[in-house]
Amino acid sequence: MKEKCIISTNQFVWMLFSIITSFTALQIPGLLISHAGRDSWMSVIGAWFIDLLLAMVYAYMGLRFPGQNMVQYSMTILGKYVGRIVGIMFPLFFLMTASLLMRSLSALLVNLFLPRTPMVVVLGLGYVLIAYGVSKGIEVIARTCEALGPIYLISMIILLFMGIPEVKLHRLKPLLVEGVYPFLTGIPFILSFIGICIIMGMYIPICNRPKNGFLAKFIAVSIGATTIAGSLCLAIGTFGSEQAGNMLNPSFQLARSVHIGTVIERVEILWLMISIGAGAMTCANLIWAFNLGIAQITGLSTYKPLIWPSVLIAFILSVTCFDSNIDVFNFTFYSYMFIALFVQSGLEMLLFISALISGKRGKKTQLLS
Amino acid sequence: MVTEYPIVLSLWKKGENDLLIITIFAVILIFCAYGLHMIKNKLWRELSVFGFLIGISLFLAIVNALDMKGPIALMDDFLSPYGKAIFK
Amino acid sequence: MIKYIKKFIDSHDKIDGLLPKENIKQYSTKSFKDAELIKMKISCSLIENIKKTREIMGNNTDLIIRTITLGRSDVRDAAIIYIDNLIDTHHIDDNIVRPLVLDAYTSGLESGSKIIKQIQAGNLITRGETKRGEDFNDLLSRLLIGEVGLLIDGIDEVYIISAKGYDYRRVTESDVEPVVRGSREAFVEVLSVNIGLIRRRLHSPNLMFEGSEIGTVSKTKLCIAYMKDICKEGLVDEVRLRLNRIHIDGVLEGNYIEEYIQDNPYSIFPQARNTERPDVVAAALLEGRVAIIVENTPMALIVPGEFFSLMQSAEDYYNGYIYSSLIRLLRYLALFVSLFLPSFYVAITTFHQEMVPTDFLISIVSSRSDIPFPAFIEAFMMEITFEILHEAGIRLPRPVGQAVSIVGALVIGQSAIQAHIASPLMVIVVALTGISTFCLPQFSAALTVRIIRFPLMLISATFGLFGLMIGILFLLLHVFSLKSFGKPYMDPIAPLMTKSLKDTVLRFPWWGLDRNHADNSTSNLENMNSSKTWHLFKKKGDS
Repeated sequence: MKEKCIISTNQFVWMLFSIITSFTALQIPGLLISHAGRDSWMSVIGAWFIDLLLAMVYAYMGLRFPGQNMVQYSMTILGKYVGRIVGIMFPLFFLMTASLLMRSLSALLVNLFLPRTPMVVVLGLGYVLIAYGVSKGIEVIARTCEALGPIYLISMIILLFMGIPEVKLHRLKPLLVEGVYPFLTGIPFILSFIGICIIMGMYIPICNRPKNGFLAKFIAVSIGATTIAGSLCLAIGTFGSEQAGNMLNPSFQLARSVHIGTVIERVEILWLMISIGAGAMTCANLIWAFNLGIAQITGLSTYKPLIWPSVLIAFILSVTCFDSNIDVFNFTFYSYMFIALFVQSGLEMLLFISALISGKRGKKTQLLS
Repeated sequence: MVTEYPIVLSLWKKGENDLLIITIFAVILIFCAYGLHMIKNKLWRELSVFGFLIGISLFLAIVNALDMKGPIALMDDFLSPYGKAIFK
Repeated sequence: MIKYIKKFIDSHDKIDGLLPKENIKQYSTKSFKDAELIKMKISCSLIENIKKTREIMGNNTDLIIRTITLGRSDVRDAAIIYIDNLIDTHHIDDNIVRPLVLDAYTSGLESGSKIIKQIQAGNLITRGETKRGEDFNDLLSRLLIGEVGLLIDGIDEVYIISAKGYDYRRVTESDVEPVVRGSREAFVEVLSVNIGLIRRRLHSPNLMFEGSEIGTVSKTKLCIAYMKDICKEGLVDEVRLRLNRIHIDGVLEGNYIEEYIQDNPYSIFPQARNTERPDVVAAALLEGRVAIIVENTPMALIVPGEFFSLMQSAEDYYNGYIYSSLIRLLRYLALFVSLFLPSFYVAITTFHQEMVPTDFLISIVSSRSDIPFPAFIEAFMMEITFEILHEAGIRLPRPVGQAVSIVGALVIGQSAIQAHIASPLMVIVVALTGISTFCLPQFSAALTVRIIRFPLMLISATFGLFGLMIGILFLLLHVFSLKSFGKPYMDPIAPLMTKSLKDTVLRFPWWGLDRNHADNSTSNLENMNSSKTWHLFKKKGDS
């Protein structure tokens, strides 16, 4: 099945930015600070660098197999059967990530603002929105991200600037007190979250200029990493590394502290609204990638009939796989990294090396200029 | 001052197998919306994949109703010791 | 006695203007379809033609048949047929009857056959437009639009002569789109007048007005207007295709057509722009759009009609660019206020009170302390009341309408507060919302906003600002999925077209806008249907 929609490079950038930042900025800062302390911003920089190297591989493979995404070129490189086994891991990973992200967002929302609303209801509403978005197609999702992405970026920038007066620089020092181990181990941790933008492999075949795949990733990851590092520094500078590391969501607490006199204060819900909007669009992207991947693995002509069943599966996974929010954090902190790195780096490197060894290439299609 | 309306809460009576009931209801709705159309147009391949995914969702709901661990929980059990070894 | 009775019967048989032995009372009540009328050819017998005309038209009181004779030698009978009230009688008198009956003699045409030859050559009838018809469909369809038919004994054709002269509303100022600066002319119900209003503004030989008819019974005239050298070829073809697909008995207003031709018929968002102003149509044609003008409708449809064109007013281009840009920003602010203010109020007062400054919060709480209803019910009741007043105000006669506004604004608003049904802040919110809706230049866009407001209030009441965000995302996903004749509805914001941004939210000065080639509105046409791709819509000369 060939996806007929086309996205522009600009949309590509904003989709990746929304995916990276919504996933990472909401979930990770507290966990990373609890592990790496004051050195957590260095982990972000290291992850950024490695992610760019990974992006080069994905961009190269996207050009070597024109018009094919990772699922398709898995089958091209490794054959029908092994290729399907390897290829299906990408969509499954996207599904798992979507359910994890939605669970985390809903948990945050219910804990902070809607304590008497059952989480199932919040999740259900979110998944209905996601199903609606996916049913409209990737072009519509891309346009929504193109509209929401700049708003999200501006909200992050405003948050960072308005939080600066609260920062005390001495809280960011000294660096590398516990050696390099915390920040070095923090790199793969944060890379597993930033690296969700391997979904670029699904976007390159539908981009109007596939050659811009790496550029789009570079821009998106750079902006995303900058905002994440900025929010980490701000959190540490405002609250200190020990307190920030114990927080559910340091960025949220930062937003809470933003005020203009006594007229505008406690505006964290506005920032959270925008973040959740970006998070919902991220999930829509991931569910779309899952549907497309499954349709391509099974040789269907369209992925549309699979949308609601896949959303239902993601909903059930979100509700059932974790008994409490602590379980979510434990999974995110201790287990997710291995699965993510295996899929993001391991599988793709396997495909890359196999392609080089076997010399297989895709057929040249009429690429749009 | 808690003023959140328990609009949803009042309609929600806590039970053990709520998720299974919701899933069955959703499956019936989804099947009526899409499955019948595929049967009418004889899209057997699409129907089989559709049915497979619906089957997975029912399976997961039943697993939860039987208080068994889901796939993500199983992965967590397998991988978290390694994570705890790295992130002390 | 018998002679007297016969005379009595004969005198009743003869009616002025009619040939003898004609029975005009017994008409057929049979109805005739176009296909049948096409098969009924005009015969050489005048009596038979008149009989058939009466048979088809029935007992219509405004059908006039005036019989005359042509020539003093070789006399030939003729009949002039017309529908009274659709024609200008001076044209009949001075340009048709007079030349045939009087002027022919004075110019030396004594013989009936010579007069007929002159008629056939087009030299006797002094009207600008004449045609020939072969069947009764030609005759009757023309009679019904205000033209005159001339039947001649011995000729199996009918001569159709233009003589329209029906009453119509004169060109006046626009009620729906008034401006302070700019033209005050608005369309009327007559197609030819509307065409003239546009032609006066665009003196280009490339300005095309393609006429056609729509409606099997009403046979309403419409015309598609476009600039041949600016408009993309595929767009006009698509408009024609969609109009040809319409099968309806009658079209009484442009909306009948609009509902048929829009890309997404289930969406509440308008996908074509309506305007009463010829200058707006002219500007749209210069941008490469297509206008559809329908007879008996003082509004033209402009397609493609994307969202940002619905937010533009004619006056934006007649005042300075700085002022216009600020007014546009104000308009967008009004759009957000009218859409989101009630929902925001309900969400904040119900779920997120911590956002409100403490002093203001105390004031809100004290004003709402006596209100027995939750904020959502209060908001819903006040919004519904406002909508009722709004609808009543449209339909009431003008002298009474003002009184109703005063009643609504002062009495109901004040009484509601004193009766503890609504708080003062709620009344302000509703009033501000209502006023903001009137800032939107397009009435159809304002209707959409009024409808969307209610589900947003409901979801905000249930889930707070999270619910509002979900509602906004649903809206965004919906509008981003819409298209109008292949053009994305939210163009140029999504997909981003930087060239077209100069005239979207802000308006750049005229010297900063690229107006020499129309890539503004029709450069981003996508698949209009499954069989075409936008690559086929390239203008000649495009790369």
